[in-house]
Amino acid sequence: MLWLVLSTRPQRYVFLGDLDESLHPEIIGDLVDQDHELLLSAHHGTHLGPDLLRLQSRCVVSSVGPPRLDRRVRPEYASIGTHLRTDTAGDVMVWMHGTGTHLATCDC
Amino acid sequence: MGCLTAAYVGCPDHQRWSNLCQMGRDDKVEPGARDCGHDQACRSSGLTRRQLAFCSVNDFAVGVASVGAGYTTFMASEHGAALVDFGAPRGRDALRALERFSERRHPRPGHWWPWWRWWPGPEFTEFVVSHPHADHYSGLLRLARVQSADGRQESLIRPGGTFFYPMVPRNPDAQRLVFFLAELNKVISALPKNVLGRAVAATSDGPIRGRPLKRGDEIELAGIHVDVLWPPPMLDERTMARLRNLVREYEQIAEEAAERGDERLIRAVEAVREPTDDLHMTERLYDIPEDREQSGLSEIDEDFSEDGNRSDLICSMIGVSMLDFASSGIRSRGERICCG
Repeated sequence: MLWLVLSTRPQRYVFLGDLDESLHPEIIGDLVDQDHELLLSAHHGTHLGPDLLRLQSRCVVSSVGPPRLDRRVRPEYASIGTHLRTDTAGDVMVWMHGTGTHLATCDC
Repeated sequence: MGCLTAAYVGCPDHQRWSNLCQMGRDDKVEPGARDCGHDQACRSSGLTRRQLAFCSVNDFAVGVASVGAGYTTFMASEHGAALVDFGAPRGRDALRALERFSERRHPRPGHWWPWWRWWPGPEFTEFVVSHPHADHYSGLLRLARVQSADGRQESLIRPGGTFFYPMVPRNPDAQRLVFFLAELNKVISALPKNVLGRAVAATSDGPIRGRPLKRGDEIELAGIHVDVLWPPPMLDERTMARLRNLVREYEQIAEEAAERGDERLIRAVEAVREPTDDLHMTERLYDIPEDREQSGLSEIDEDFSEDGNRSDLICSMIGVSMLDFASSGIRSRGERICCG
């Protein structure tokens, strides 16, 4: 129950933290129908309630790695936006500016 | 070692990656650098390479570190920098991520993220723990221990900075459960009391302000406006029902632990059962000592973050859902409590 969910303005970055998917309906009203630039997926990309699929974001990042959670990442996140996983892409840097979003990765 | 790759996410073919390894010191793309191959299309939509040098008031960058199944993320703008979670399955991996991102502030070909130059750090004006699980703050504990061992006085959190954390819902029942879960975690993991707040104090060379966050709060991180969407100040009946189910699950675990003679689990579950009337007890989860001398660093000496089995055990049970709990293996294996 003690997860923080944060959303920035005006550039839309949504940090879902470890939010349980049963609670996704509780926050979806604040997020739907908005153009998000970056969504940090819930619980390493393993939690994805059906309501969350109503979101659209340029990119979705899952902070994930072995040994347990990497096999449980929900591929449906790709339907929300370009989905990057840190276990395959490495560090991810997203720069949000007035005219667009730039994204860089570094597997180092 | 990989190479720095980038793409114009907003371009008509943003799935194609480009290579900007040769990004120069003056933000111009030097010969040899490539973009996504859609120069004209990108320019017509305002996505030129030169715009890497342009920043408006609301521009900001987010870095998500590759730390395994943990969270270490950075936010930076020309107005400041914030650390949102600082954890990893192994605390040292979070520290390495901090070093990597710090190195990328410097203009070296192939290792420079020019829009990261805002960050003056490794020092932050705001530190957020989104969730009191070790994979969200183990780097902080590791850093506190390393600094204590080395006698260093560097600040991760700038003196006068703010430590944000999720507010415990005001429902008395919810507060009791959170406290019980914290006790459970303490017994199982052998973590020192109030270790998180003490580590915050230990990694700053001055006073830090703690602030709980709840739905509806508005704050600034790295100078960027942030809305807090969760947790709510009060849990609704549906969520409370889930909590009560969780308690019932504990009772089953207690019975199984007793049957197995698992003393550690028995003690843990007994701690959960202890009643208390102190409704402010949960605030102590994040208590920050007034200065680093009071942080009791000598007690943060257990190298728990280096051991895979223990890193499972140190996961706080706070906030773990029924699903997580049921799938953690605690009932079948008797000792694994895992949150990820």
